[in-house]
This record gives sequence, C-alpha cells and structure tokens, in this order.
Amino acid sequence: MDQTVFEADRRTNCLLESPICDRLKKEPCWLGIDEAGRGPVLGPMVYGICFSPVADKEEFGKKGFADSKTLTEEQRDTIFADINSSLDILGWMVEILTPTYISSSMLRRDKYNLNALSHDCAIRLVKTALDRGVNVTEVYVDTVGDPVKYQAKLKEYFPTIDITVAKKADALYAVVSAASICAKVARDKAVKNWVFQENIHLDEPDYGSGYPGDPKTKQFLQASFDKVFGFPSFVRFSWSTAAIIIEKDGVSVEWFA
Amino acid sequence: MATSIDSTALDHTSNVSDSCHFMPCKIHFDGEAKISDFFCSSFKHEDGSLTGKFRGRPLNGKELNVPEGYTGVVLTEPHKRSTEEEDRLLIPSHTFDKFTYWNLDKEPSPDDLIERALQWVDLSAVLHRPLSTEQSQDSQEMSGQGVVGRARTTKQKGPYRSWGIFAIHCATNVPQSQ
Repeated sequence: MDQTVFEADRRTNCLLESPICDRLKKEPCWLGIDEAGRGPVLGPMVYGICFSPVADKEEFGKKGFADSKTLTEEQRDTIFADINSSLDILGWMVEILTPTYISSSMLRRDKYNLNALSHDCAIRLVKTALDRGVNVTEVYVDTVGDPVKYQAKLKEYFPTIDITVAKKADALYAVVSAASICAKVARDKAVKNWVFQENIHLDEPDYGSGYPGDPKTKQFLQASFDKVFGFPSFVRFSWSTAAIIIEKDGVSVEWFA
Repeated sequence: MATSIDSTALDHTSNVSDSCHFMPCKIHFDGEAKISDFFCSSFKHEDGSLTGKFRGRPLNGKELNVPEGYTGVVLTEPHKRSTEEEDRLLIPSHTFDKFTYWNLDKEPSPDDLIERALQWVDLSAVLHRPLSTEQSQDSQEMSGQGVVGRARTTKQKGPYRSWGIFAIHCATNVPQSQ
C-alpha cells in the first residue's frame, strides 16, 4: 500500500483509495466497514471500507479475503495484494487518523470521545464512496458503542441504504473482513514506517503491538519520555497510560481556564 | 527590598523574537527544554491561522508585536535571594520585539487577556500623561468634575497586572538555540 501522501505529513489525517471501476458505479454494491488500531496507545487508528457488486457476493466470498487474529503481518500483506489486484470487482478506501488528531480531539474543550470520532470516520468514508459515484445499497459494520444507536445514526445519514450493524461483522460478512484487512495493513505499515517529527532516535525500534500491556510498548514509553513535553506525537496523550506516566514523572503543568 | 534591572547588560543580549512563546499554562520548570523538537515541530499554518500542540492538547497561536517604543526583555536571576528583605538583581539575557501567544483550544481574539494587557500599555500612556501647570492649578477646583489625577488600574485576572511584571514573567524559560 503506497502511503507516500501520509508519510509527507504524519500530523494530518490521510485518505488513501483504490481506483473505482465503472461496474461499482453502475451496479448496486455492498460495502463493509472495519477499523484497526483502536486500543493501542501508540500510532494511528485506521478505518477501512471495501465495496463490491451485490451480484458478485458469492464469488467475493470465495476469494478468501478473510481477516483473522491469527494472521501474521506478512500473511495479511499477501491478502491485501490479492485485494488490490481484484479492482475489477471491488474498491477500497482507508482513512488514517493520526495519533495527534486522536489526542487533540479527546483533549479539546468540547470533548470528542473515541466512539463519536469512530462513527464520524465511518460515515465520512461511506460519504466519500458515494461522492465518487459508488452505487452503495447495503452497508455492513461492526458495533462501536451501542449498536441500536449506531444503526439509527447511520440510517439518519444514509436513509436509502440498508444498514446492518452486527457484532463480529468481520466474521459474518466477507466485505467487512476485506475492509478489516485494508485497515490493518494500513495501520501496520504506518507504524512500521513511523518517522518521529521530534527528531528522536531509539536504540530499540520495535514498539511491540502498541497496546498498553505489551512490554515492548512499555519500554518504548519509558525510552521516549520527556519530562517537559511528555511524549512524541506518536503517543496518544488522551490514554490514561500516557497521562499516568506524565503525572508521575513529568514536570507539573497547570492549564489556565 | 528593591528590585533592579541591570540595563547595561542590554547591549549584550541576543534577539529571540522567533522563539518566544506565551503559553496558556504554568510550567513548573526552569531550564533547558527541547522546544524546537517537541513543540515547534507541531506547528501548522493553515488558512492564515497557526496551531500547535503541547502534551497532546490543541493550541491556537497568534504572533503579537511588542508595542511601539517598548522592548520585550528576558530576565534572569543568577542569585536567588534568601529573604524578602534582600535586594533583587535581574539581568537581561535576551530581547524580543515580537512573540507568539497561545490559547488552549480557542481562536485568538482581541478579548484575550494578553491583547488587552498590551492595549493597556497605550491607555496608560494617555492616563499617565503629565498635566500642564495650568491644568494642575485648576485641578483643585475641578476635582469634583472628575479630572484624572490618578489612573485606576483595571482589575485583570491572570498572572500580571502591569507591563513591568509582564517583562519578568517572560523570563522563566530561556529558549535553547535551534
């Protein structure tokens, strides 16, 4: 996946998309949404969509674009390569939400929580697909927060589209699984190729999974800590993991009203 | 008891106009900090507005010029006094003629305290303008009609009450050279 645009400025959210063939604009399509990197304290969160003609559901299912927790990064990369060479029957898009964006959204005066942020990103992606002329008639997505409320919200934005919000949607609907692959591949690459704007150089370049409990992640947090600034922008300051370290080891900062 | 500023040191100061930042928080720290790496690297100029981040929080910045006829001064205090009775000696280390002030997640506006403080500089010049001898003779009779003899200080929330204290307040963090 070419992330040159994102790599030019890692402080700004970035949309990456495949070309869209005519069939996807003419025929009714089903669209799956999934995300990657929601829980980690490091790096971006990525939302992905994948869409394909409803008429080809069976064929799509046989392609084997199934994501699973047991896949290695290399295996996922291979599946994504398959997805990306099937652009005659599908299209994909991902939005990379930078850790800077996540931190400042959740720490601003008018607090924007992670669920709302997630919902809006999903909605934005569907809108973009529609703007590109994709004929979306069905949307499938995994639950984020209350499924009833989420379904109602999506229905409000897309009244003519059939919306299905379901737990484990990535296991139930092949198009959601494909979206999951796209999102994970995007996130993994963004993390792997991260260059620190803060000009820091680490002995150990492996951040681990980025989850707060991961020993490599903990080690990275210790190594990159600065007592005045806290952490580089790669870290999500709104995570209690980060906040606790800053509270304990950072210099005291009092914000004025 | 007395606070004095060694103005002879002004000849030996360097200009730090490009690296003076008035933050919307009190940082309880004096010393070297990686300002260019961790703070300046977060700046974005978009549609004429300036944004930055500090500890993940969104900041909105605006560059201000030090008022005409004034100089911004960064003061250092090499020897902290041990009692309040002792004299204080402050040494200028840097000067600035402009600086950037930052709001926490709020567009800069003329209502911001720092903007109002700088407006006060011009107002105080008018209010403290010496009266001519003619006027001061009449002032006894005119006192009932509200001739200005003493300026009333505007009560302002915040860490400064006059321009003099403002200059000292900027002294805490000496920005490192790039």
